[in-house]
Amino acid sequence: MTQQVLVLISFLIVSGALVLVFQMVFFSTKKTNDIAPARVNRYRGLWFLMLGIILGVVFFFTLPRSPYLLFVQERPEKIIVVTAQQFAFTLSDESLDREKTSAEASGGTVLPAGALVEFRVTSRDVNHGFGIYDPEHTIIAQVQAMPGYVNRLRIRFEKPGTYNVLCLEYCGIAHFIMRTSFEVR
Amino acid sequence: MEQANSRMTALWIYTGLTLFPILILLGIFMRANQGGVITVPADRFFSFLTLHGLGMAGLWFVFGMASNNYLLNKHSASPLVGNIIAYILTLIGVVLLIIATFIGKFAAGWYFLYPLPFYKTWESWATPLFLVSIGVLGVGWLVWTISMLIGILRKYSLPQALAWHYLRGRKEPEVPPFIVVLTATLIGIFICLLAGVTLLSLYFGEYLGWFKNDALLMKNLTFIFGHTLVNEMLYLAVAVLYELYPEFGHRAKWKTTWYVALSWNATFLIVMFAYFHHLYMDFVQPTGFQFIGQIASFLAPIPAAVITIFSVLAYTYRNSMKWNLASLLYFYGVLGWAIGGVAAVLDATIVNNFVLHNTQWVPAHFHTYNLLGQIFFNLAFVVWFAEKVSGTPFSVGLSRSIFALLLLGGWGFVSMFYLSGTFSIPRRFNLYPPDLSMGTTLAKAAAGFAVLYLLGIAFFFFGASKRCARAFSR
Ligand SMILES: [Cu+2]
Repeated sequence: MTQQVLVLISFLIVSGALVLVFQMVFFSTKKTNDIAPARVNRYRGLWFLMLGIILGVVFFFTLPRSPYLLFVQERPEKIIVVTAQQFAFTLSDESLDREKTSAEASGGTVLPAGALVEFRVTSRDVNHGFGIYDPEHTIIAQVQAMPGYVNRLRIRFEKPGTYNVLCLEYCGIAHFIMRTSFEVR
Repeated sequence: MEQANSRMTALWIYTGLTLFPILILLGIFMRANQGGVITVPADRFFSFLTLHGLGMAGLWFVFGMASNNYLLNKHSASPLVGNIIAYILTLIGVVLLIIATFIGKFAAGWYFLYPLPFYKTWESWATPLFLVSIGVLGVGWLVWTISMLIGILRKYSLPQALAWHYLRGRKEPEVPPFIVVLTATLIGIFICLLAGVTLLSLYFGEYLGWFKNDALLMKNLTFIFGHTLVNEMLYLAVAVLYELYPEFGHRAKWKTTWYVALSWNATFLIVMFAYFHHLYMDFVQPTGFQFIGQIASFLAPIPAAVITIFSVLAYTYRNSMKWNLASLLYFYGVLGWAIGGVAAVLDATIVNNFVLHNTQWVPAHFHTYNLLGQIFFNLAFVVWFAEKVSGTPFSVGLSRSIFALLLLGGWGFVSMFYLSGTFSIPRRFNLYPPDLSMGTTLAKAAAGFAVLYLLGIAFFFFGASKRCARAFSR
């Protein structure tokens, strides 16, 4: 199951519970009587505590998995420089300054499966997005491409196949055709 | 005074209810184009996208301000001239915006991320005109914010209006929750408009060739301005809810308590830091800020959920409620707000954002709490106002049709966004590539549901406009 589907399922469960509570309260207005304010406040306190605990638990479990902390201790085996420009990407394993033939132009980028890859992503003009889609067309990682900055994204590709890269930040009227791809073998 | 106040409010309602269907239509054109039903050229599509986003944010912001201004005058009069200046400058700003996007084809998106406005594929005059139009709107709204703050400060001191004395255990003077929420919100609006002014000045400075800007700084300013303003417009609608919802039940009006005071003061502070969640995918942003972004995004809903949503439920439970279009819109608007909030918290979790950022999940969550939350609150105010001013309630049949169309159309529409987000469909694409053809199918269905929502709004317009006209004939 992809992470996106997991998010959808948790969303549906919580929303379903909310709908049930609201419907219950809505129908309760047919039979009216008063409730003591003290009881309401007790429920409010309980609800506050429960919500705080749930959010706290989610917070501490998800934060260490944030992309900024992933693989910080390891040395990347492969470094790929990504330069975004209206409306194309250039992938290269050469440094940014030297205008060498990009890996793409010299027969496509091939990355070794299982190796730790670091993408150094930047832009020559406006903001772009660098979104990696796996062979099943699901986003597995993304980072922004910003002029004047280099964002470093580290990732390990386990599954071999063709990965597509789509621009995920609106960058002008041909934004939707801005894409590239690479091979993992 | 009361008459002038009613007329100003009715004028805002007419303007808003005229603009809203047009902006919805732009949205329908976009979804229909994505669904392959009609063809909108790419340059048109993205200028529609720009106008739709900015127009909706601006429209519901001024709607929130206008309804609060009307209710504020029942407590303490604010200068009418502030409201009038805001109306005139809003009108001018909107006209300029329409010229920049429709004729000039300006298409840098609603948040016009630096330096995109300078990389023109549109008319070269459209960029400065666009920046001027945002400037005109900002000035008008700044004047209005100050004018409403003056109204509040005529009756209360600032610490009183923020209910700080409740935090120290005192209950005198009594300040209604409406004033507390409105004051906290107006201060927040003031701060984000100042960020907007800074942003625009930096744009003009570069336009005139004085200096070059830093992309990360500009991104931060854009989101303090844009994200915070959109957040505050939601709170404007909630302030009105505090004032009006108790009119539909038989229990006593809400009173400010220490936890209401604490909650809204906290919300006002937290919201200032929540915008960091827009920059999660900019890894160069200091990591501390990213974590603050997640903390603030997690804390922001706690006061809202514990105080407002819980209070509405507790107030309604076993209360003999008068269910009419206004109270139904309020009650189910709170549900939409809550569900949109859940989706927002999920997206504001960094690990989820890593795969959901700039997918359709993002428009899914904000369309939920706008279309089915905040706009419901604003429409509820219109119903309340229209019925009060005309003395004729909306008929049961009309109310039912409107409510059913809005619920079915609205929830159907946002569901397509959620599914698209789950299946990695990017946002801001006018057409989908063959490997993401699911996006096309879902867009087609979304356009259909949006037509239902639009139909509901058309009925609403019919019911409200007739009644609001009475504000002028009295
Ligand atoms: Cu792009």
